[in-house]
Amino acid sequence: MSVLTSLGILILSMLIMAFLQLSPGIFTLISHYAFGKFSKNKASDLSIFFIFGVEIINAIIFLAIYLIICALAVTPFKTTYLEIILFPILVALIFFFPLFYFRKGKTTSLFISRGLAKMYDEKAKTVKSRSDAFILGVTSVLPELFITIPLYCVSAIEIMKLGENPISRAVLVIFFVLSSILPHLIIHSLRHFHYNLADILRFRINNKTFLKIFLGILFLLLSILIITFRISL
Amino acid sequence: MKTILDIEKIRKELKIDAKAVGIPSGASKSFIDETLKGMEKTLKGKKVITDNDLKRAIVKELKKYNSDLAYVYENRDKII
Repeated sequence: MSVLTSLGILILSMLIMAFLQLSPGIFTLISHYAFGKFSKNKASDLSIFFIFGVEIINAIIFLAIYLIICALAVTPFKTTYLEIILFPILVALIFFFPLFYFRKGKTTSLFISRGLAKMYDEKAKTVKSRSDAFILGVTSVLPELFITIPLYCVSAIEIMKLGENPISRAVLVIFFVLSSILPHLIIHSLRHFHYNLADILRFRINNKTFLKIFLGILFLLLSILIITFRISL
Repeated sequence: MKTILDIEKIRKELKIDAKAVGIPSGASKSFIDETLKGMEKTLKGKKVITDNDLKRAIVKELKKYNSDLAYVYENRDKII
């Protein structure tokens, strides 16, 4: 049962990571401007470096949290205490997604301030080199850290509990970190199948309500698993 | 909000959007010119032009030529 619970928590966390919208939104912008300004090869190159930036920063943050939790596990500190601290944040996020994640109206504007959104738009417009794209990728995940850090913490605890075998742990860590770039890879491949920004935008706007409710439900399920099988026991 | 019309900037933005949407540059050049002429005609006589007036006029003209491009121009500042 414990293994199933751990896998359930991990799968839910990965699904949430894969459905977050800010970094894929910025990626849509950079990809649009790059394909509009440069050759296909250069645009593709910039897009890949953006994804690389997202992946690197996610991997660094996740590994840092994972190592801290592994270090804490050999002390009298119990990971249950950390889950007790994280639980109210997860509960708050259940309500955050349906109520505040997307702004009202027929847009996919997110919760971030309009000044910050404008800054990301300007930066995406002026990306010229691989390093620009990489840095934008790194910064694109920062405003959502209050969502991702609790997920990283609960996932790191579960990966640690799932077994002593370092290879299986490493495989799980890689899978988890890769889940955050899944939407970027999908958007990138869609461009190669001649889908443009208008198609992606229409899809996002049409599925906005579903997405915010779905993310709320995923957090609800995650909270239920943690309160039932981790904190109550 | 007062706006100083910078036609060349708008033309450049439209060209980028058109190329990204997959419209060949030859085709886009002609209808971007037509769009800008139409926009100037719509806004002629207005003493104060807001950003929204400008956008609405461009989108209205673009819709005649390419709905995808019009949609992108209308919504690209609402993506994130």
